[in-house]
Amino acid sequence: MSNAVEIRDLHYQAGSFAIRDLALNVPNGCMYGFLGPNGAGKTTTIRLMLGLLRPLSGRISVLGGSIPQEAPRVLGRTGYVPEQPHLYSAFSIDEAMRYHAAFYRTWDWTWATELLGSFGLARSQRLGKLSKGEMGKLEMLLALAQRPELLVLDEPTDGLDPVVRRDVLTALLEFVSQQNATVFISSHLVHELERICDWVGVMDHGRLVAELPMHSFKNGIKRLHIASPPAEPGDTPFVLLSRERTNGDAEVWVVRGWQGPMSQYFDGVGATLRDVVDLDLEEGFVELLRTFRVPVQEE
Amino acid sequence: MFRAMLRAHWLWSRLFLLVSMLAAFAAPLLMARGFSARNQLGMFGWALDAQREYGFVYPLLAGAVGLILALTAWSADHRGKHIYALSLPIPRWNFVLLRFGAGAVLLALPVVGLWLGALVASATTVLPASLHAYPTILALRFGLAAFVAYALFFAVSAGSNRTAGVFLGTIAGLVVVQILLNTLELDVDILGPITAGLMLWPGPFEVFTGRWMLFDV
Amino acid sequence: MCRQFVPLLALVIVVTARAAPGQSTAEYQQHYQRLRQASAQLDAHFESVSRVRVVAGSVDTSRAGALVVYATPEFRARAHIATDSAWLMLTRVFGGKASLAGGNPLLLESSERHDSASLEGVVNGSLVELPAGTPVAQVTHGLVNVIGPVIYSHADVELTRWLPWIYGDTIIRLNLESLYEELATSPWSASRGCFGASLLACRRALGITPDDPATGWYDATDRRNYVAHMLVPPTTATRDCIRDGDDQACIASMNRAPGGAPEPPLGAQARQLLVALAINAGGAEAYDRLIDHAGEPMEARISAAAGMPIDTLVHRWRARILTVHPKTVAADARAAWAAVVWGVLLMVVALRSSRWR
Repeated sequence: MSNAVEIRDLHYQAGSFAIRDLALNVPNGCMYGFLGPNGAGKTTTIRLMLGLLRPLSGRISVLGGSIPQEAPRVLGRTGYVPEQPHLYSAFSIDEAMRYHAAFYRTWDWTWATELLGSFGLARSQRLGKLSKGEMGKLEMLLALAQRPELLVLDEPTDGLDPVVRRDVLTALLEFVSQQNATVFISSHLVHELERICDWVGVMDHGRLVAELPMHSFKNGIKRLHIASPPAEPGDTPFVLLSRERTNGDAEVWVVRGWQGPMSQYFDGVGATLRDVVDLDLEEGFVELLRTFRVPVQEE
Repeated sequence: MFRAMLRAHWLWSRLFLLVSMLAAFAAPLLMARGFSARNQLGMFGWALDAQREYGFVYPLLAGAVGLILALTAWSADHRGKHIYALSLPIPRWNFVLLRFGAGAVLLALPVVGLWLGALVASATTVLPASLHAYPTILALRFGLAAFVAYALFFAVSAGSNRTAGVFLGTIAGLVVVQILLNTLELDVDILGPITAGLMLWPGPFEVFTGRWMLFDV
Repeated sequence: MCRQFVPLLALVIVVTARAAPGQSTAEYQQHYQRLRQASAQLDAHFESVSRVRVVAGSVDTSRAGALVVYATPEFRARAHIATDSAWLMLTRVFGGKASLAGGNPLLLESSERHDSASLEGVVNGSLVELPAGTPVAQVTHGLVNVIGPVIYSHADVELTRWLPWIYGDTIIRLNLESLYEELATSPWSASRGCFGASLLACRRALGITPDDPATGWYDATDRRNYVAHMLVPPTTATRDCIRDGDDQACIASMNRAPGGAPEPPLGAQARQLLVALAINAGGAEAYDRLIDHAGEPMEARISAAAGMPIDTLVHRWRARILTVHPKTVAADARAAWAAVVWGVLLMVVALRSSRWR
């Protein structure tokens, strides 16, 4: 088994929203960042992955088990932090931990107690009275203390202040360092994922736009400043994502898969490569989405 | 897992359960007062009539206990859109079974309350030779009635919103149709046979009917 | 219609025949007055029948024995059958005395009539109002329940005071479960003794023994309780009885109860059952014997009606009541199993919900 999660030809429909032909691979032991704007289908994909929703067709395999047929067995090895808090507000933290622990054989009370201390939570606190940050930390605590093989986090730091976000991510990284677990984390906070993920998948309008190692994603997308660009790019050694006229006959091209020796291409077409600018993940993400939504247009 | 479910359901419903236990304990004692007051004159016929008149309290309480326990079984999950329940590592049918079982166990509390109250009432009331006390059977019948009510409302609450809507909509629709028929002076009774089917053998609510009297002939 | 005039013609003939030669002027005048009255009755009868025809269109007349029923068109077919059945019932209960129904026709009409006028006030008789769609069996009972009291009203005062009413259809309408309850919970010593199998106590509880009601049917404690629950303005005697337990005052108060005497310990339904059993056992002339033995103690009258010793009849009466034990809270096993099965079924329904499948 090389992939912790494999999705093939997934179809799902709910009202006017649809997921079509989704194929997704999450390598074992990686930290997979699942990017996408709001309403792209990230949460729906996660729910389908965990068997909370039933697809119309397709195949889902998580930790070697088919979903939804083997969902209970798989869920016993999976920690899940959903987008919205889902715990019972009438519980205290202690009661919530006891309730959760009853369902997971791998529950680690020692580590749970440690996390309780490092998160600054008290057992007697009522869930209904917790702040958003405290609830977020509790959700993470419950998921981590199970010692899961797969951790699925749906926008775990959304709406949290920087201090809490740091605490949550620190605990996550500590967990990853302790055991060779796979982490699947979805977010629209691109800069956060950039720091911790080694794989990235980009989703938009129910489709997976890109899936590749993080370094390839970060390094591969460049902004090129070009003088006297060719009217027709022709056969390029890189993927031209977009081109935009600036002033005079200069253009800015956004390309993917750029490598240094590819500058020779411009010599061949009579253009001059003025500058190569690195894009950070967020800029690259935006350009990628823009390209996906609107095809490349010629001037 | 079952203990966790039981503890959870107890937390959600403990206040109601304590109140219902008290009410169930008090009901037979209050009924027995009529016998004690009339005992001096030996007017047990009137006391029996009073019991008969107020005997509806028992099935009413049983229905209320069943309803509230069923609602509290699911209300927390409804609020969280069932995400937590569906993400737990047990088969879905197993989860529902555990939930049902936990609530059914908690039903025992008001039943025990009623039984204890009936026992105290029986022990402290002097009856003529022609009358008898039925504390255990009264409590058993109360328990069965509460169980049926609990199962019904549990099934409705466990379903989707659409299922609950269909269920309640059907009842409302039948009532509206009957009112319309009565308004048009058409001699068609649709609610009567349905009610008879539910309340008489082999309907589910037969256990609610009959003489709910602690002291009887 | 000719048959209706036979009695009147007979009357006329008898009256005329009595006015034989040799009688005085006064006697002639008396005869003349009787003839005038008979003639007036004939005229009234003709007129009422004509008015019935005008009012109801066509009125159907049904006869069976002494029973006459005028029915409006809605009841045409059913009236004939019901009249025959009712007459059978009446003869079964009242024997020969059922003929007392004669001269009191029944007026059967729909209780749902809107425009047509009622037969009542047009024709002399007792009104029986029933919904137009009433089945034959219920029409029969309706007729019997109206004419039965009319027949019974001819009974002697002692009987009607002991048993104010009598059902024409015997035991059918008695609620035996409530009789059981009454016997089991009656506060009077005679009733409690009857429940405890003393036939003498049963006779006293039924009020058929020839004892003084206040002292024979009730003991001292009963008398005090009886007076305490009498709905009469308080008097010195009642106060002495209730407050001081003065038994003589209690007896005096009881004898001043409405009706002049206390009621028997058991209610009218219990007594009705006894009479119904006596009539059933005594055959066609049981009621006749009950009436004909007027003046004797009630238990003797009832024994004569039943054609058996009174203790035998009372024993049957008691047994009949005790066999109908009301269903208590003790849920029969069937209801209990139904509750369990339905509970499990509903649980399965929950498991099969689309969300949990």
